[in-house]
Amino acid sequence: MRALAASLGALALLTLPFWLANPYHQHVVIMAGIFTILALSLNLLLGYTGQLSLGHAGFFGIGAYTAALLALSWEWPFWLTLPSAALTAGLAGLGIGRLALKVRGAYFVLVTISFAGVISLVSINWMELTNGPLGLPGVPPAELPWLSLRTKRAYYYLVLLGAALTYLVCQRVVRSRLGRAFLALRENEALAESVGVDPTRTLVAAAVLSAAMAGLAGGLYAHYTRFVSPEVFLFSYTVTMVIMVVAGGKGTLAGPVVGAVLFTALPEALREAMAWQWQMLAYGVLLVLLVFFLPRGIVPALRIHRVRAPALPAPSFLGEVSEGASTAPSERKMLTITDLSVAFGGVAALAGVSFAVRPGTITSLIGPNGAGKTTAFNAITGYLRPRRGRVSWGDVALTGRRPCEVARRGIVRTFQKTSVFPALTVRDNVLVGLHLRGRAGVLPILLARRAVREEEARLAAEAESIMAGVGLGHRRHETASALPYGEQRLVELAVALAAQPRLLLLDEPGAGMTGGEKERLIELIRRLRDGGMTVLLVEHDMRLVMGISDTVIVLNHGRVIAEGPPAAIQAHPDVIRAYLGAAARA
Amino acid sequence: MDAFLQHLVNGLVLGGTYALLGIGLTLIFGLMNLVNFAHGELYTLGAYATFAAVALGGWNFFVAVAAAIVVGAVAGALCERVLLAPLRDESIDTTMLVMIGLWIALQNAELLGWGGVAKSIPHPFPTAPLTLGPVGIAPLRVFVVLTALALIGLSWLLIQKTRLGTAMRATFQDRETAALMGVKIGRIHTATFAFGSALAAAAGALLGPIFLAYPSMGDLASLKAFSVVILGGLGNLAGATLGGVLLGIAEELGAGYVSSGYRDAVGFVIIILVLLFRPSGLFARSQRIG
Amino acid sequence: MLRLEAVRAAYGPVEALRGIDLEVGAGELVCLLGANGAGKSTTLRAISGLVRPTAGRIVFDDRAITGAEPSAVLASGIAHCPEGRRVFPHLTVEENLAMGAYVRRDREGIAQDLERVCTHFPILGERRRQAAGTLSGGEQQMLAIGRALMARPRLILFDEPSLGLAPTVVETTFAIIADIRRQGTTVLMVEQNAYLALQMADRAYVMETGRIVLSGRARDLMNDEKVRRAYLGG
Repeated sequence: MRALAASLGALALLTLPFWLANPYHQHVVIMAGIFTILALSLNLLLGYTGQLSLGHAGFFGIGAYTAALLALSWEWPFWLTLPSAALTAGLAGLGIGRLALKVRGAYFVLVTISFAGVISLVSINWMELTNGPLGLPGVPPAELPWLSLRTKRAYYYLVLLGAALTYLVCQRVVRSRLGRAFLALRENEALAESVGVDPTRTLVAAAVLSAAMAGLAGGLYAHYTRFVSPEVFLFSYTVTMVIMVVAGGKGTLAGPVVGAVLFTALPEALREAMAWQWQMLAYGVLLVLLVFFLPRGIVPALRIHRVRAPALPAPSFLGEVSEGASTAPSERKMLTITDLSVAFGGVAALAGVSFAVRPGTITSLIGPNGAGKTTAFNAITGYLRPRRGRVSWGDVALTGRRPCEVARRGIVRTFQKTSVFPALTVRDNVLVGLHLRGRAGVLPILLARRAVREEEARLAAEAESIMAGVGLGHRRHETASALPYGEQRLVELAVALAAQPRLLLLDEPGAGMTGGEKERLIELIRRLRDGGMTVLLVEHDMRLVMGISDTVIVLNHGRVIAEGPPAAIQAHPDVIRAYLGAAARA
Repeated sequence: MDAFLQHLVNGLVLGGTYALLGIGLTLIFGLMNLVNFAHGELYTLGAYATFAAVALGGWNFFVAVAAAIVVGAVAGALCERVLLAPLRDESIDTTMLVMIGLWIALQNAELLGWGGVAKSIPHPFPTAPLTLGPVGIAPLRVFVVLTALALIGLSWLLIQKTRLGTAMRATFQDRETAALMGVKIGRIHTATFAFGSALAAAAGALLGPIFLAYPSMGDLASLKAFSVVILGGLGNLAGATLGGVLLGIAEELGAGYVSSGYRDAVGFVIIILVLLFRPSGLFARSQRIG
Repeated sequence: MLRLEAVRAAYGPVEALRGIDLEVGAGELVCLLGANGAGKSTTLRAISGLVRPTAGRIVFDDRAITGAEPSAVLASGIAHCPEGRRVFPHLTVEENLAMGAYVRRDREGIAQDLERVCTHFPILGERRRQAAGTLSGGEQQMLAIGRALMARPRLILFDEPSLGLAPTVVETTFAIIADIRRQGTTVLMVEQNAYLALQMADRAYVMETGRIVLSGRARDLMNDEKVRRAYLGG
C-alpha cells in the first residue's frame, strides 16, 4: 500500500510539468522545489540539533553569488557551479559553525543574524566583485552540450533532482549515528556528552551540511532567475524558511517539504486576493497561531501510528555485559583521585579530596547535603575543571579532559536528576548510548556504504539486548518522557550501560524509586560488579548504600572524613556527628 | 580634529537613543529570558504614534512624544498579557518564535496602515544648527539627547529606588525567593515588558523626527538594541547605557572614517566579536541591575 | 495553628510527599527530621505555596491555604526562610530586608522593624548599604532570618538553617531561632543536624521517603535508635 502510494507520488512528481501548461504555474513549482531544499537545510539545524539559524539567507546568497560569479567570470558550466555553490556555502558554514557554536540558543541566533547582515552589507558595498546594489544580470542558463535546461519545464527536473538529493542526504543523516547525535544534543547535551558525543564536532558537521544545502539552493536560484542581487540576502527569505519548517513540522523529514510546498503555493494562490503585505502579515499571525495551537507542526499532527513488527527475542543483557568486561581483565584500572579541589566563587566545594576506587568493587560516596559528592562526580568526568589536584584512570590523567573524551576511556556517569533524551524513543535513547560503539563518519553515511548498514544492524541488535536486559523491551517504541518515573531511571541506566563503561558513576540512582524498584536496582548493580565493572555510587538511601557497598567513603564540607567497610562507617563517631549533629549524647 | 568632534557629538545623539533601546531590551532579556525580536517594532510604533499625533492630530510635539511613550507601554503590556503570559513555562525557543511572528505581523500591519513611503515627522525646532566652536548641532538633536538622558536617569531611579524596581531586580536574581517574599511574578513580567516597550517607543519618537518614519525602521533598531545588550552584558543597566553610547559613536566614526556603506555593520561585528570572545559583555565586572 | 492533612505532592512523575499529617501548635517549636530526599523541604514548600499539593489539606488558623499563592500564604502570616539562605546577592542588605516586607504597606511599621532587625543583628546594621552577596555565610544567614522577620510572621518555616555553616555560626543561628520562638513566634524547622535541633525543639517528626515514620516529644526522640537509623540505615 505504501509502496503504491510512493510510486504514484513519484510518477506525479515526474510528470508534473506536463500537467501544468501555464508557465506561471511551472514557475511556482520550481520555486517550491528551491524552497524545499532551503527548508530541509534549515530543518537539519533547527529541527534536529535544536539550534535556530536566522542567517540562512546568508548561505543561500553565498551560493547564488558563487554560482553567478563562476558562470559569468570564468564561464563555468552549471554542473560545476552548483557543486561549487554548495561547497562555498559549506565552507562558510564551517567557519560560522566553528565560531558560533561556542554559543547556543539565543546567542547562536544573534550570531547567525549578524553573519547574514554582514554578508549582505558586503554584497552591497563590494562593487568590484558584486556590482553592488545593481546586482549581476545575465547569469548564463543551465546548458549541457546535448541538452538545454533553459525552459522552465526542463529546469524543473534539475530542481527536482536537487531537492530529491537533498532529501536523500537528510534522510541518510538523520537515520544514522550522526543524526542520533544531533537529536541527543538537542534533547540533553550533558547526557549526550556523558556517553561520548562530541558536541562541537557534531554541531559543526550539522552546520556544514545545512549551509551546503542552502548554497545549492542559491546556485539553483541563480541559474533559474539568471539575475543575482543583494535581495537574495533578504531577511524575509529566512523568515519564510522558518515558517515552512515550523508549520510543516520541525524535526521530521516530510515536514519541511510539506511546509515548503504549502507556503510557496498558498501565497501564489492568494496573490489575486491579497497584496503581499497582507500575506506577510498573515505569515506573522500564522507563526504565532502555530506556536499556540499546532506547536509541533502539520506532519506530526497528521501522523498515524504505524504498527511495528514484533521485536525479536533477545539474549540476556547482563550476560552480555559480564562477557564484555571479563574478556579484558587486564584492563582493570584503578581510579585515583589526588588532592582534588574545586571552589565556587571563593567557597570551597572540595578541599583536597583524595581517594581511590579499586577495580571490580562497588564504592559509595556519601555525606550530608552540600558535602561535595556531585561536585566530585563532575570533576572526575570533566564537567568541571578542578582548581587543583589530579584524577587518573590507571596511568592516564583525566584531569582537564572534556566529558566526551572521558567517556571514550570507558568512564560513564549518570545524573542526579532524571536525565534521559525526553522526546526520543527508548530504543533511540539506547542507540545514543551506543554512540561510541559505532564509527561511521559523514561521508560513508552519505554514500550509505555497506559497512555503515552492517554497523547499524549490529547496533540495533545490541540495543535490543540491552533493553531486554533492563526490562524495557516492551517499551522500545515509547517516548522516554511518557514513561513512569521508575522506568525513566531504567532508561537512564540503559543509556549509560550501552556505552559499555568499565567504570560506572551513578549519582543517586535510587532517588524517588519505590521499594521494589530499589531491590531490582541493587540486584542490577551487584551483577554489574560481578561481571567485572567498577561502580562508584552517590546515594542518600543508607540502606541501599550499606547493603551494597564494598567500601564507603564519607565526605563532609569538601573533605574525606572516613573511609572503610559499611559496618565500620555506621559506627564511626565522625560520621554520626556529620549526619546527626555535634550534640550527640545518645 | 574638528570633524572628529563633530562625529563624536553626532554619535552621542545616536548613542543616547540606542541606550534607551538597549536598556529596555536588556531588562526584558534579563528578567524574562525572552529574545524579544519585536523590540524594534515598538520603536517603529513610537515613531508612527508621534507622526500620527503631530501631523494628523495636530497635537503639540512634546505632548505627542509623551503620548507615544504611553502608547508603547500600553502596547507592551498588552503583548505580554496576551502572547507571553500563557507561554511563561515554555522554552526560550518557543517564545522567540512568537516574537518573530509578532515582529513580522506588526511590521506589515504598519506597512499596510501607513504605506511604504517614509513619513517625515514635523517638529517645532529651528533647522539652523547651534554652533559650539567647531561643532554644529541641530536644536532638535539637542532636545533628543537631553530627553534620552533624562529618560535614562528616570529608568535608573525606577529600577534602583522604587518598590517595583527592587522587586524587579529581586525577581531577576532569584525568582523563587522573590515569590516567597510575596512578589507576584506575573505582574513583574508585565511591568517589565511594558517598561521596556515604553523605552523603545521613546527611542522611536525621538529618532523619528531626525530621520524618517518607515515601516521597516525597526529591523535595524532591534539588531542595534541586541548589540547594545550584548556589549553591556545581560541585565546590566549601566552596561547598556555605556554600550549604547559606544555603539553610537563607533557607528559615526566608522561611517566618517571607514565607509558609510558599512555603518550598520558595526553593530553586527560587535555582536559577533563580543559573543565569541567575551560572552558576558564588556562590562561584566560592573554592577548589574540584577 | 498549622495543620497538614494527608498532603501529597509531586514533581512531575515523582511523588515527593505521600500523605503527610502534621500539626504545629501556637508557640511551639517543631522539628522535621530525616535523611536527604525524604521530603522535608517539599513539605515546607507545599505549605508556603511554592509547590501545589496534589491532594490533602493545609489549614492555618482554621483557614484552608491549600494551593494558595506564596504571596497569599505570606500575607496570612507564614514566612519561609529557604534552604541555602537565598539572599538576593546584588541587592543591598537594606533592600533585602525591604523585600521581606514586600507584602506590607505600613511604611512606618516597616521602618521600625528595619531598625529593630538592624539592632538585633548589629552586623546587618553596619552593612546596610553593602551588597548581600559580599556577606559571609553566617551573615547571609542572619540576613535571611532578618528578612523573614520583616514580614511580621506568626509562623516561620526554617529550611536547614545550619546548612554549610561553621559550627560556631550554627550555634549562633540556633540561639537566634530559640530567641525568636521565645518572643512568641511559632517555628517549624527542617534540620539535618538532628541532635542539635532536638535539643531545642518541643516536638519532632521524622520523615522517610515522603512519609512521616516517627513523631513525638523531642526529648524522647533524642534517645530513639530509630532516628539514627533513619539517617544512617542499618
